[in-house]
Amino acid sequence: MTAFGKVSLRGNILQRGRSKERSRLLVFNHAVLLLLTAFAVLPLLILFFNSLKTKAEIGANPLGPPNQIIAENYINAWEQGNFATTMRNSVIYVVVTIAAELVLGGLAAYALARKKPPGSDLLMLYFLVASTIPLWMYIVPLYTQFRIWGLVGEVHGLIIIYIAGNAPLTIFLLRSYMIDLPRELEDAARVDGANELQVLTRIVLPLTKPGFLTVGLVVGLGVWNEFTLALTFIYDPSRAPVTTSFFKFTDRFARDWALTSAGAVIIIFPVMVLFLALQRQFIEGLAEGGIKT
Amino acid sequence: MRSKQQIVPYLLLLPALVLLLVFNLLPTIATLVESTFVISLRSGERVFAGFANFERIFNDPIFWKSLQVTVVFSLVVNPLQIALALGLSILINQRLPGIGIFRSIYLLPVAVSLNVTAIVWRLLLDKNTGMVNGILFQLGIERQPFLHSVDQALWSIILIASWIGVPLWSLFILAGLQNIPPPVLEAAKIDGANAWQSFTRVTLPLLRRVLAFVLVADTVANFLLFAPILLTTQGGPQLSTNLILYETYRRGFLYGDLGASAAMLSVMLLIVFVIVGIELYVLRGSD
Repeated sequence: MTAFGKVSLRGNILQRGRSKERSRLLVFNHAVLLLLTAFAVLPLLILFFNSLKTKAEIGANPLGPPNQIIAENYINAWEQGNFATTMRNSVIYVVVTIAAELVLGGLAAYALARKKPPGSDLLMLYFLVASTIPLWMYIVPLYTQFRIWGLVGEVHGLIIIYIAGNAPLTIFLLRSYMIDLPRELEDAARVDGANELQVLTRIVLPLTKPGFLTVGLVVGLGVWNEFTLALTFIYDPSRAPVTTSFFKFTDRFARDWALTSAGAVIIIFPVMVLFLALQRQFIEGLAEGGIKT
Repeated sequence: MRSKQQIVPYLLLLPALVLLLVFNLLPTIATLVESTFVISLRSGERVFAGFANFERIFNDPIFWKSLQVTVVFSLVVNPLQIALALGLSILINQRLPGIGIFRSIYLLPVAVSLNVTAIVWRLLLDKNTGMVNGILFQLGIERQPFLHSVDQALWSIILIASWIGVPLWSLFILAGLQNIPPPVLEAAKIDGANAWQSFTRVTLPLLRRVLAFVLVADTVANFLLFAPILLTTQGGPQLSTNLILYETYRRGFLYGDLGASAAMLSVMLLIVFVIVGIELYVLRGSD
C-alpha cells in the first residue's frame, strides 16, 4: 500500500510539471467528446423533433425543433401502427427467449465450467463453429422443415430459433463467469450435505448473478431488435414483433415522416431507458466475467 | 453412482446441443447439400448437379462484383470501427468532469435497432431534405446524393453501420479497459513511458483477448449486414452496395434460384471460417 502511495506522489510531481500540456490535452479531449456525442445524439434528436411536427412543417423545417408541438402524432402512430399488440408481442418474444436461454445456457455453461466432462474441448469448438454460422445459411431449409412441422407463423416456432441462435454466445459468456468461482464454496456445501441441484441453485447461481444480467441484456437487446427471422417466419400482424411491423408501417406511410418518426421513437424509447439504467452494471458485468484481459 | 456422476454433465449439455443441432447445424448442412442440386428445366424436378451451381456463379460477373464490394466494405469497415472504438473507449474511460454523461450519450445508439437506424439515416442522408445536406449547405458545400450515388452509397452504408458498430464494440473494449489495474499504468509512467508507449506496451497487450473477440465478432457481423441494405439501397445503385449476403438474398428470394443462392452461401461460409481462423491464429495467445 505504501509503495503505491509513494508511486502516486511522484506521479503527481511529474504531472504538475506538465500541467500546461495537460490542459491543452483536456481541451482537445472535450472537443472530440462533443463531436462524438453530437454524432451519436443528433440523429435521435432530429427524429424526436420531427415526431412532434406536422407533415407540412417537416417539409419546411426538416432539422430544427418544432414550432408547434403536435403530440397527436404519437396517438396516431400508436393506433395506426398497432403498437399495443406488437409491443406486447415483442415483450413475449424477449422475455420467453431470455428465460429459456438462461436456464438452458446456464446448465450447459455449468457443465463445461465445473464438470469438464471428456470431450469438453470438442464441444467448445462445436459451439464456436455454431456461433459463426450466419442465419442465412440455415433459414431456407429451416423454413421448409418448419412448414412440415406446422411451426411457420407460430410464436413458439420463432422463439425456438431465437433460443438456438443465441445459445453459443450465452454459453461462452456464462462459462467464463463460472470458471472463476472459488471451488471451495461448492465443496463446503457438498460436505454439508447439499446435493448437486442445491449447489447449483444456492451457491453458483447467486454468485454469477451479474453474469446472468449481462447475458440477459445482450440476448434481450438482440431479440427486441431482430428483424430477418421475424419477417420470414411471422405473417400474422397480430403476432408480429415491433421491428417487422414498424417496417411495414414505414412502407405504408412512406410519405408521412411525422407519423413514422413518432413510431420510431415509440420503439426506441423503452429500450433506451432500460439501457441507460443498466449500462453501468452491464459494462461491469462484462468486465467481471465475459471479457477477460 | 460413479456412472451417474459421469452422465450428469452431458445431460446438462444435451438441450443446448440438440437445439443447435436441429435448428442450426442440420439446416446448414441441408443448404450445403442444396448447393449441388438444380431444378431441371425439362422435368421441373430437383436433380443432382455436382458443382454445376458453383460453375455457374464462378462464371457470373455479378457474383464477382458482389464479392469485390464485400472485400472493399470489409477492409474499410472493420479496421475503421475497431480503431475508432478503441480510441474512443480510451478517451471515454478517462476521469474527466462530466464524463459519465458523455459516455451514456456516446453509447446510446447501441440500444437502437439496426433497421430503425437505417430508416432514420435514409432520412438524414436524403438529397433534398436530409440533415447532412442541410449542414453541408450551411457550410457552402454542394448537396451530395449519398445513397443514390454509385461513388458514395457504399460509404454511406459504412457510416450507417458504424453509427451502431463503434459504440457497440466500445462496450466490450470499455469492459476490458476497466480490468486493467491503474497501478500498472502508473508504473509505466514512472518508468518514463510516454502516453503512446504506455498504450502500445501496456494497454494493447492487456486488451489482446478483448480485441480478438471484438475483431472476430465485428468481422462476422459486418459480413452479415443485411437490414440496412434492404432498407436503404437494395444493393444499388448499379450494384455498388450489393454485398455478397444481399446477392444471395436477391438470387434466392427475389429470383427463386435457390441452387445458386446456396452455392454462394457455401462459398460465403467458407470465407467466414477462413477469415475467423486466420484472425484467431494471428491473435492466439499463450493461454
